[in-house]
Amino acid sequence: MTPLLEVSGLNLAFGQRRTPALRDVSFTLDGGQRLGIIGESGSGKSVTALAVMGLLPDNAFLSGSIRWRGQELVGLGDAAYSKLRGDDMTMVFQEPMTALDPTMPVGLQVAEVLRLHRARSKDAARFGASAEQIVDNARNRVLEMLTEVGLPDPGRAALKYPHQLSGGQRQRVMIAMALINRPALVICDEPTTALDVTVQAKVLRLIDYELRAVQAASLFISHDLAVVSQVCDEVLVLYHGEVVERGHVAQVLGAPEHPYTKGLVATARLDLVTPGERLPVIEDFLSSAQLAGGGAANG
Amino acid sequence: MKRSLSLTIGASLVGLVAVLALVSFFWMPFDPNHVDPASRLLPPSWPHIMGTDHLGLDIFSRILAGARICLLVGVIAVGIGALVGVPLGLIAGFAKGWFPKFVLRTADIIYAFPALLLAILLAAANGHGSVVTAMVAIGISSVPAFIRVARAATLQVVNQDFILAARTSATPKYTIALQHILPNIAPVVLVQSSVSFGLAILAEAALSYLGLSAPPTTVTWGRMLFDAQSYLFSDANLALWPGLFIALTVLGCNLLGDGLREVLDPRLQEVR
Repeated sequence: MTPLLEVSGLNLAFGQRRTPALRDVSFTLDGGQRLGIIGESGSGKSVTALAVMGLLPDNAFLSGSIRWRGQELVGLGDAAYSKLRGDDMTMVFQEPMTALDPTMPVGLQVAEVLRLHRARSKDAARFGASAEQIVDNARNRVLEMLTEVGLPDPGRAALKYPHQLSGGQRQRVMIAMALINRPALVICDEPTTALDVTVQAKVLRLIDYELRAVQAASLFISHDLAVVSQVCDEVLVLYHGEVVERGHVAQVLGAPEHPYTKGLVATARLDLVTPGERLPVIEDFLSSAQLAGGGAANG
Repeated sequence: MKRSLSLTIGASLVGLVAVLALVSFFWMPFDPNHVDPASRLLPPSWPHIMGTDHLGLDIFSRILAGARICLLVGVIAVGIGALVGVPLGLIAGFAKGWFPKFVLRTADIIYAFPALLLAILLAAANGHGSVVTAMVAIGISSVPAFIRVARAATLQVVNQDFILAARTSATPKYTIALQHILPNIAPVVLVQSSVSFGLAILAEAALSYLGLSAPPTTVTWGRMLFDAQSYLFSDANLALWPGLFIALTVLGCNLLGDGLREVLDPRLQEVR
């Protein structure tokens, strides 16, 4: 069976100087599977997501192969890509304040995503529904979705503007937008980083539940090992644009092989540090050669 | 909404002029074009509360009638500027390729022509000056400012996540431009409009003064200033009133612009 998403030998560079951002990144994702991508800032997590969505900036040079159900996406035209975006693959962003339009009620924003999808799938023509019925159906579907993501009083919340909602509520709206069209793949780009810890736990549980409900696969980008281990089946560790380790979450985080992963795991386990001792840093685990190599890749 | 002193004063001044213009349609103490040599050059007194000019015309009536042209010029000129400039600026900030560069260079070229020169050109092409040529000239010369302001605001909005989010759900480009970018740059455009409004009124007064705008039968404040010129030292009253009203209107527009900026600019806004 062809996997849902197959990325192989992906290389990405930016600008005139071709600063490399990804080097020979490969992974596959089956339907319903969840792959966590972890790594520090600048390791290439977010650009991997943008590359899959086909939304890289103009100065990006992409080579390699991204296959969606066997169809090659690298070099695909914008019109053909648009058929996938929003229907088959969607994205949840890190900062829900900036990812929602401040001048539009949130319910309308969710409705817009639904409406675009309906226009493409031509529901109206198929069922011969009148315009009023479509609007009515769309409204009900939006309210249903807002209820499902746990917005209190969805009827009223739908008419509010983003700044009138709390951070957690905004992220719930983002999740509603990402899942209302029942996509096959949801890319979550650090969806809980901007939230405080208690809200984070709730939103994670919601994402977990919703992904299961629509049986969507997910690329889950995070720098938080605890978050990844909670939500994902497998994990991919990126370091300076290279995949350094991949495997089941329990295996990678329980018995890391690559020194960088060892460092990541050790720095996250503060309970193992005896008081008064120096905290571990990732550099403790890397040889000087690896550090130098990383430095060169960064420059 | 936050209170702003400049907004209150500006809106009151512009509102006052609007009221004057409205009133002039229903009631004026005298016909603003009725020549009455018997009562020429009267100081402010009853029934001529602002006095009369060298032809015996009632100055208060002429101020009322002049308010119409003043507002008309502002509205039309700003309308031309905004309707042409904002879409071009939005596209220049949003699109890629040669078109944005073309728009910006063209704007630079128009910027180099003062409204005055443009009005003279239009009047010459038309055979004679009129309110319409003046309004069009002022409108065209205010286009580049709108282009630049709209483009700068668009560039700020375009790089935000919600535009990327709209693209991840394959929102068509024109929908992104109309539904997501336009409402977000609206405050900036509004501020620019009120500032341009003041500039347009000032420019029209200057054009009237030079005889490049309305014909003598049409009452404008700039024209009144021109007529008052030869009596400046004997009867300053004639120049005082139109000058005062032009100054107050322009001041009102600028204060309104500042006030709107204070109220609408999120960076100056208190944390909600």
